[in-house]
This record gives sequence, structure tokens and C-alpha cells, in this order.
Amino acid sequence: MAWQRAAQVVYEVVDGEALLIDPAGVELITLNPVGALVWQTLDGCLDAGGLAEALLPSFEGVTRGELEADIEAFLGELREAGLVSEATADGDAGR
Amino acid sequence: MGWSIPDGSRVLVEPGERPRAGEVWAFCDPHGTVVVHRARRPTSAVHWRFQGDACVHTDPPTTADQLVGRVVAVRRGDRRLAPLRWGRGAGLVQRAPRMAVATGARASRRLRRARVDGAGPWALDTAAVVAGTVVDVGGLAIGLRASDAGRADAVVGMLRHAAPAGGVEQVVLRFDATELPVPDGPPGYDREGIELWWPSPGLLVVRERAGLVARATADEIVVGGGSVSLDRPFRSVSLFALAHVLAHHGTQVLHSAALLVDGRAVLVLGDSGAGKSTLALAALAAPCGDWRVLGDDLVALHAVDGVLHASGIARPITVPTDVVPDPPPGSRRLDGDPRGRLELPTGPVAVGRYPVVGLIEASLDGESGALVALGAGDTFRAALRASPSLADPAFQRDVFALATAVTKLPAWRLTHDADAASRLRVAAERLAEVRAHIGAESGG
Repeated sequence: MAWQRAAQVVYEVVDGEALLIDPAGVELITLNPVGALVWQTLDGCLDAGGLAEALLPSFEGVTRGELEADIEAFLGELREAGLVSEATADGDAGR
Repeated sequence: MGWSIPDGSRVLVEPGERPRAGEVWAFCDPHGTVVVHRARRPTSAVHWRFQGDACVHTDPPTTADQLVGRVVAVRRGDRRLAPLRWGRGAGLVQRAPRMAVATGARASRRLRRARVDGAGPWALDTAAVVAGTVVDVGGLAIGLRASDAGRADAVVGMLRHAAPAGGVEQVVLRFDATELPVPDGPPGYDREGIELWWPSPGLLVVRERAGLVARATADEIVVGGGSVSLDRPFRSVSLFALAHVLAHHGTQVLHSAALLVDGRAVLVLGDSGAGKSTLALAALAAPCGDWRVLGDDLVALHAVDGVLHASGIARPITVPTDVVPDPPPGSRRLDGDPRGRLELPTGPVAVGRYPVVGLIEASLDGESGALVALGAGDTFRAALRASPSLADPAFQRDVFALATAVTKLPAWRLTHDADAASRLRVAAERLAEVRAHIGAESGG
């Protein structure tokens, strides 16, 4: 299942961290540099495995399986917060 | 991976008695839920304030019996993440030589002098609003209308020092007793007694807890309804409505003060009660008279050729009573203000639009009287928190663009002196340091 950033979520990357406003416009959410990297890699075409494959060269000391599991969990949190959704045919809707 | 401490995380705490500003603590909220947030400066000897790093607002005051302990580690899955340290990456600013010290009495005299010498020639009055007049607000010509003297007074209270506008009015602000409906369904934003709806593109509906409702489009603000006290409810709804209207015209409003030095503006951000107006007052009372005030609470920002420019929204300056033990004649207590502030006869003493060259975040946290450099992330967050349009879907991207532009400015966090008697003097000294730094950066 490919993932995309939710269309209405506005974000900016500042000093490596991604700063987002939740869909209700009330909460400021900060993704740390690793989370920000995943966030920026979301392109509407990649699933958790694809994201892990793309990001694996950026990390040392982690296996592809570990990375995919972490990304999967992270995407679950983002989905729960309304920040990502399953990709549509239009691809990435964010920003 | 993820934001600082996700819900459901397990935290390791150690016992402690008094949270220090910047530490992460676990405590029980009034519903018995354990919350892990960062401590800010105590609001009194027995109350602490906390705020999540991802939260726009602070938590309600917390008492000692609600405290669980200081968080020393966070466990999430197999990963252990150290809580982020407050002020990470910040360093002390090189301090300029101390300037001459003004005593409280001398500062008060300077304040009076500023009122006499510097106040603009404009003073909006009730009769003018009832008759219909046009003023400049953030570069927009806004026609003011009120159905009666009481409502006109509330408009004057908000815009007393606004300059008259020439030419044709671009926006109308009308305040009468008509009860305005709010949309069906829950509001899109509901915080601190303010509810916001965006029922259709370009339309904002604001309801304040006392009952006033405002509807704002690109060219009209209509405020309707009544309440026992009109001043404060009108200020609340018109702040969001004005921000919405100005955003339609390419100008962003920030809940910010703006100070002028050497023909350039320095923004002063900070949560309510953090000391923006106190810093504005310190600027007016500064020994050398170098600083002027564009606004102490609301600022309109507009990019001109890629450079951010600020103009004030000319509300009267309001300050806590403890920093003005000897109020100038004409001061009055702000009607219905829970903080019991004093409205000074002094309005913003400068008009016009000025390039923005720096930013100060007024703060209650940190070392008393300290001025420290502020990182881009903290500056960005401060700008977002200061925007009344942050929740407005039509303008969120503009707000982010503004916050991004603000991160390019030199920025500092100024913690006001804990002693009210010396607060103005210390703030004036810190302003001198900021001026020296800005001058050095620009070669001035």
C-alpha cells in the first residue's frame, strides 16, 4: 500500500525537522530529522518497504527489515493523526 | 522516529520536588491522565506551567500534588530517546557594553515625555465611528460603522490610534446588535473561548464566549450581538476577523509587538502575558530615546520585493500594573481583562511601514533577564503560534511562508527580569544589545 501526505497538511522543514500543522489547525507537530526524512520521501508511490529501500543507504547499523518495521509504525502514527493517507491515482497530494 | 514523545510512550521518571523551566515532567491532569510536557516558569510559588513541545498553548496551572516526576528517558519500542533540551543550540549573545541605567522615576518621566512628544495626532472618537469614518489598518482603508455609542466605544478601544485613510474604503467593519447565526456543526477551531468556522471559501465566522459573532470576507467584517461588556469580546472577534480580511489582501497579522530603531523594525513575539507590551514600554522609556513603538500587540506584515515590512495596528498600549507603579495621567484599567492590565494613554508613537530586521521572543522561561540567540526552529514555531490565521485553511500556506521568512532574521529570546522593579531597566539594556547586534550585522 503506497502512502501520500494528506492534501490539507501544510509543512516546512526547518533545521532538519519537519514542522506540520494538524488538519484541525490547532496542534503544531514536529517530526525529528529521521521522521522528516521519511515525510519528505513520501511520494504517493512507495509503500513502507519501498520507503525502507529508498532510505536504507541513509542509515548505518540498521537492517532493511528493522527500518521497514519502524517506518510502518511511524506511518501508522501519521495516519492516526490524519497526516497521511493511502495514495490515490493522483499520487502525492501534499504541499 | 516521529514527534518528540508520541502518545503511549513509556517514560522513566525520577522523583523531584520543583520542576525547573525547560525540564520534561510527568504530571496528572485534572482528569487523572498522565501527561508528559515541558516545564515553563512557575506561575506562583505553588503552581507550575507546562507545555508540550508540539502544543500551541500552555496547560492549565499544575499544583505539587499533581506532579509525578522528572522524565529522564523515553522508551518507545526498542529505542530510547533523550528528551530534547530546551534552548538546544542556543548560545549567549555577545553583550554590548552596558548603557546608562535609568531609574524607575526617570523611566516614568520618559514615558510621559513620549506620550506628549511622540503620540500621533490621531485619536479616533466615538462620534466619528457612529458617523462613519475611514482609517488605515495594515495598509487597508477600512470604513468603520457602529450602530450606537457603546459599540462605537468598543471599536475605538480597538483602533484608537489608527491613522485616517485617504481614498476609497476597501473594507467595511460594521458593529451592530443584530444576532448573527453560526454554521451548523462543530467549529473548525475551538480554543480559549473562541470558535471559528470556515463555511465556504473566503468566509470566516467567529464566535466569542460572551456571544458576539463576526463574519469576515475579503471586503467586509460584520460583528453582531451583545454582551454585558463589549470591549474585550469585540477585541477578540475582530482580531481574527481583521487577520482574515488582511490575509485576503496579502498581509499577514501577527500577535506581536513591533519596535523601531534606526528606521527598522524588530518584531516582539511571545505568548499572552510573556511581556511584549512590557518590552514596548521599555523601548519608550529607554534612556537614549532611540526606540519607538509601532504596535504593542498586533502587527501587519507584508512582503515588498522579498523584504518583510511591518506596520502597526494601532491599539492602545496595555501593560501589567506592576511595571508601571506610577501610571501616567489618562491611564485606565482594561475593562474585563482577566490580567487586570492598564491601558496607557500612549499609543504607538510611529506610523508607516518599515523593513523588519530582527525578532525577539519575549519569554517567562529561562535565566532572569537573559538574552539568548534563538534557533530557526524556535523562531518558526514562535511565528506560527503568533498567527491568528494559522487555523484558517485558506491562508495556512501563507502563514508558513511568513514563518519561513521570519527564520531568516536574527532572533533572540529575552527572558524578562523576575523583579518587576528592575524589569523595564533590564529590558532596555537588552534592547541596546539587540540594537548593537543589528547595527553590526548591517554594517550600521
